[in-house]
Amino acid sequence: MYKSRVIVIVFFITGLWGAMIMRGVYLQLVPNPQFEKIKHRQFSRMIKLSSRRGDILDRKGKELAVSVTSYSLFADPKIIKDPYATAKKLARHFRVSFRSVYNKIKNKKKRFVWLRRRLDREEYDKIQGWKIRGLAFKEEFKRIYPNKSLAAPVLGFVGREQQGLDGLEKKFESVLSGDGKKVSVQRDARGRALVEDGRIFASTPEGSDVYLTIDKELQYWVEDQLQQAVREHDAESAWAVVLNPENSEILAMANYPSYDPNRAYKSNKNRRNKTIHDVYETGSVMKAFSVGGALDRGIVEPNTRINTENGVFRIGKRKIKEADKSHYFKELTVSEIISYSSNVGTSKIALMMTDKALYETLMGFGFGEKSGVGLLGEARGLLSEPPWRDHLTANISFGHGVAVTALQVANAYAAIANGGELNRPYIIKEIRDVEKGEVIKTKKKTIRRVLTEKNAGLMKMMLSSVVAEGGSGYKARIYGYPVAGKTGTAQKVDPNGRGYLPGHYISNFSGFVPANDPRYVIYVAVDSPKKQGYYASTVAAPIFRNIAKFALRREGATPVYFSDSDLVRQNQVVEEEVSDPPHVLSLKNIPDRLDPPTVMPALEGLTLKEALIKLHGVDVDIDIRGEGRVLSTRPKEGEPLKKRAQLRLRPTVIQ
Amino acid sequence: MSKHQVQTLKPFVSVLLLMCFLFAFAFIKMENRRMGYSFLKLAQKEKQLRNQQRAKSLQLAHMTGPERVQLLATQRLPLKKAGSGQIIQMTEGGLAIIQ
Repeated sequence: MYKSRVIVIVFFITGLWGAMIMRGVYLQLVPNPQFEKIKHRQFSRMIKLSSRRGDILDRKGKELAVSVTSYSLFADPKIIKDPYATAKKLARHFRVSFRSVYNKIKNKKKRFVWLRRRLDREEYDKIQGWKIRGLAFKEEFKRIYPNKSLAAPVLGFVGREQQGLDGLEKKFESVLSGDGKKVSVQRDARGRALVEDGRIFASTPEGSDVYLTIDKELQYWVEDQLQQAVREHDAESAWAVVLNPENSEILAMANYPSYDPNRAYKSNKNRRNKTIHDVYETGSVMKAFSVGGALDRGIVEPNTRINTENGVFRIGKRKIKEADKSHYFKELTVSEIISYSSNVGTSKIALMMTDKALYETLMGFGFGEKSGVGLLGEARGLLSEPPWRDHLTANISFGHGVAVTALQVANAYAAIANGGELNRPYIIKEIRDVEKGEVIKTKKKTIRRVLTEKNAGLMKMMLSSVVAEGGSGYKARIYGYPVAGKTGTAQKVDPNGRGYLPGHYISNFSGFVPANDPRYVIYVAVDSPKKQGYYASTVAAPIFRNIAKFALRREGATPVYFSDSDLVRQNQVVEEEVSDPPHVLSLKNIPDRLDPPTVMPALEGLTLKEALIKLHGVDVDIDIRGEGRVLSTRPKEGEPLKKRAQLRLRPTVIQ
Repeated sequence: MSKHQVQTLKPFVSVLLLMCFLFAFAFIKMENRRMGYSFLKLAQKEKQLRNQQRAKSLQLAHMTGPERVQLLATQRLPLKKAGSGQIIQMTEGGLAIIQ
């Protein structure tokens, strides 16, 4: 009986175990999607790795916009032992009110609260050093524009979550931001990720880097020149574009005033990229295209003589006048019409062409349509379709009644400069996909031929005469380099009604250098200059000259000999030396160097170098404290110099 | 050792081998995990260094920014912008041209 009981129990237990083992085998070996799902949920964890935003660099790889790692501080109020002391410490560190921090971390029910976003490494190290339980960091990226306002309206800026909000940042959002990675990892009983391949956690997916055609140094120089011009002429604003005529790549695209994209959230002023967003009447710079079209159609030649009606030409009830009374001529050649910027002459050429031909010419040069540069918000410009009345045809021929963008004008001049081909302007040199190692380069794209090579050559010659002595663009002249270009002074259209704003002009100049082998096409516009004239010849032409000089010098372009007036004359220097005795070196002129001071000289306000020159020869140890200009000295001014002198310098604020 | 003894020991040896195999398996798994963490540490270090390098290059970009260089040149050093006629360029023929 006993034995049979034992056998029953053994069989029962064995059966039970057997069933359990069979169930286990079934669960482990027979595929079951539902159990797979539960298992995956229980043991796996999905981690999202956010990508680092790609950089924006200039044509030489210099940083214009970069993303760096930053550390965002958060708190888990539940595990902070002493919220009062923690808040006090944090408030002191961040220089904020104690209450603002304490209110965030006092609520023990909360498990996550942001305390400060995007701190730098030093602050991270410092706060980590406090070893306060309940404070932790999350790595995030921070967008930095190291050159501040440089090319800001072109670059744009990013928002709080690093998303592009304007300019190239917005246009190339998908390229720059990249694809974040999602990684599935096993987790332990507490839900923490189990590490098998450490690289997965430490790797950061990267967005593509965007290389621009912009030259940072040239861009800075152009912006600096615009700033100076705006101050000098008390103008509202100024903008400029520099292109390579060979392929229409944009070397500089500048606006002044501009803004600092690092603080874009503080103000929404000056964000417009006026070179592509604003359309306006440019005035006489358009004459080049009207004449170019007439040349190409065989209507005129450079030496064709046109009756310029002594400066006043009647079309019905309206009169077309020359801008300058000194330019009232009876007759001018086509070349002189360009050189003297004759409105009457250009009008007559346009009327000979007919409105349809002028319209086709201007459309051919790219006006009235987007240039295709690929920047956000590019304007088409305004060019109405013919038929036009005669006075409108005349007006359009010299740049009134047609609104264009700065980039359109520069690109059309590039077509003249390169021998007659209109290319699509571009600002993206290449896009480098760091993850895949792919490089996408932008190639030159010719849209159409707008002038024959011969006529483009003739236009270059005629535009060179503008910068010759007596021409309207004489101030754009650069010694040693032939310059071709055209001035334009246009009244500003009243945005609130019909007609023009009295006393408001746009002075602009468009041209290229060197005229014989163009390397730079430069367009400059100054809005509403109020001081020291408003004509383009005095406002825009000198800016063009300064930009062109810098660009050529930097490139190392060798100047060519034109005339003796360009040369440094040796006898001039000799004469100056003879006629100006103070410049002749003699012992009389350098007494300070022979007789060093015995008392402390007046050094306050001097630079360190100037101060040290004054103390030259003095047998004392000089203790320099700080940087910048001299704030105070010890001993004080006039007191006898001892063995030791101290110069305390006032720091010059340079960020 | 007699045949009988070998026969007696065989199950023990089998169990021992099985245990050794299991221990080795567990050890390798542990070692794999441990190396994963060491690798993570090194990868984090590498990442940190990359971040530092990025921060340094940013600092360099900031320090060599043309605006800052100009400010330093004109405010800390007694330098001025070259005025008209102060720059002289040479032609290929050796003629000096005023700029």
